[in-house]
Amino acid sequence: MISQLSVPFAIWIGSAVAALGWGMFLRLRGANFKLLPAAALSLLVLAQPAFVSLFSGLRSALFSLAAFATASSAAAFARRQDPRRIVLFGGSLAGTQLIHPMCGTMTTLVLPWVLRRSFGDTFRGRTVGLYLSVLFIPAMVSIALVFLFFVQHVHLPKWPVLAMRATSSDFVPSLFIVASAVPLAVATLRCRVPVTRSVLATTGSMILVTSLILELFVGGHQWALSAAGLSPLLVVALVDGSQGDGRRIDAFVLLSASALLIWTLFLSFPEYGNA
Amino acid sequence: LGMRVKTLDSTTYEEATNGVGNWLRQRTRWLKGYMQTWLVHMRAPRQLLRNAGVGGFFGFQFFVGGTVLSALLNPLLWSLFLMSYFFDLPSIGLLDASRSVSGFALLLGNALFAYLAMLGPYRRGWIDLSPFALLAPIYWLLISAAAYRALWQLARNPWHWEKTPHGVSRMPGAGLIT
Repeated sequence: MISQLSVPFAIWIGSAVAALGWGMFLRLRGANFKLLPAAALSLLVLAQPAFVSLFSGLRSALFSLAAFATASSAAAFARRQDPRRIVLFGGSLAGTQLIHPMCGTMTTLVLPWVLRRSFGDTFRGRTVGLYLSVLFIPAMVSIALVFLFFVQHVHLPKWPVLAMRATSSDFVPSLFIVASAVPLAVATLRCRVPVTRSVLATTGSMILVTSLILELFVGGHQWALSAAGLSPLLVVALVDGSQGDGRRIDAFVLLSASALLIWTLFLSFPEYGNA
Repeated sequence: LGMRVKTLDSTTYEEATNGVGNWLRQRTRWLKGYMQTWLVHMRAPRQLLRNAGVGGFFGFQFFVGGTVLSALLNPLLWSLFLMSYFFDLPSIGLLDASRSVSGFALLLGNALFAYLAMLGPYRRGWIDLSPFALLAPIYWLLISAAAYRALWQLARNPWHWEKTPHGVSRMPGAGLIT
């Protein structure tokens, strides 16, 4: 593996992982978690087997970052619909589309609609302009990609479906995908803020559904990528959804359990590891 | 004169033009003004650089000169982009990359402009106006038409200024105050 190590590739993976870690750390600190617990919780999420592989590591790190950015910006957008939050939310959806076209497109279509009940009085009954503003950036990115690929015949990076090595689909990795979603399901149910619950449920479901579809019909051992996308959502659940002195313990228990589960599966079944 | 020009962060309740003809004449006047301003100041570029500084000099180029240039180039880029699908560009002396360049410029430029127009009304709560921002490409073509009218008038009748009639809209100005 060392002989195949590509330094620039490793730098890209490291940068994406660092950006994700920094984003989670800032969110945790913003929610009044102390310095060391915030750092420790961020590192627990970053300990993903998906980031280890050079082949799939960059894709997984970027997908993880995109999932976290989408969930965070969606929760912020649901609280207040101002231009800055609209741009961040739309930009996150576009970024997710670029990295995982299937998951990104489904999330772009579903998530803004799910959030409609949380819009303030200003936008109630006047949502056309709001949806247009949110969906504009993802739509432009899609148009640009279609233009580049079909008209200009530009070779685009093969994310992530085409990047999968062709393998026979197997039922076992599908079980791993479902298992890796259990910690997020628990965190979502315990979340006290209804709009954050909606965001987590929707984003998590989109990751789960697209991973299962790809695993069952394309193969390629999606479960590590799926776990990498779901884990940062736990931070969003902890930041928005939990209150009180016990939340630090809850956070460590939940994130440790998630990390333990993922690594146990990864090490026990290496044949279903990263694609 | 040793004085500086600033912009106040305030609201103007100026009556907007309510017809294409009025709008075209108004924009023609504005763009001719931009052209004359650029020409007058660029008669002595070193003096402008001394007076305005480097930042002011380049800001002037982009905001005054660039506004006119982009309006004039817009239909040329559209033509180049559309021609690239019907003609073999290298055979008529144009770069094969012109389709990519013009396409990219059109997509990015129009998208950015439309998006800014889409978000602008939020500050006033006039989000019902946001969907009209999608008409930005057509709006830009009208600006280009005004720019070429202005260029023609600058050459043929530089001292003629087409005034905008006011008091023609149905809604009085007080109705806009929120």
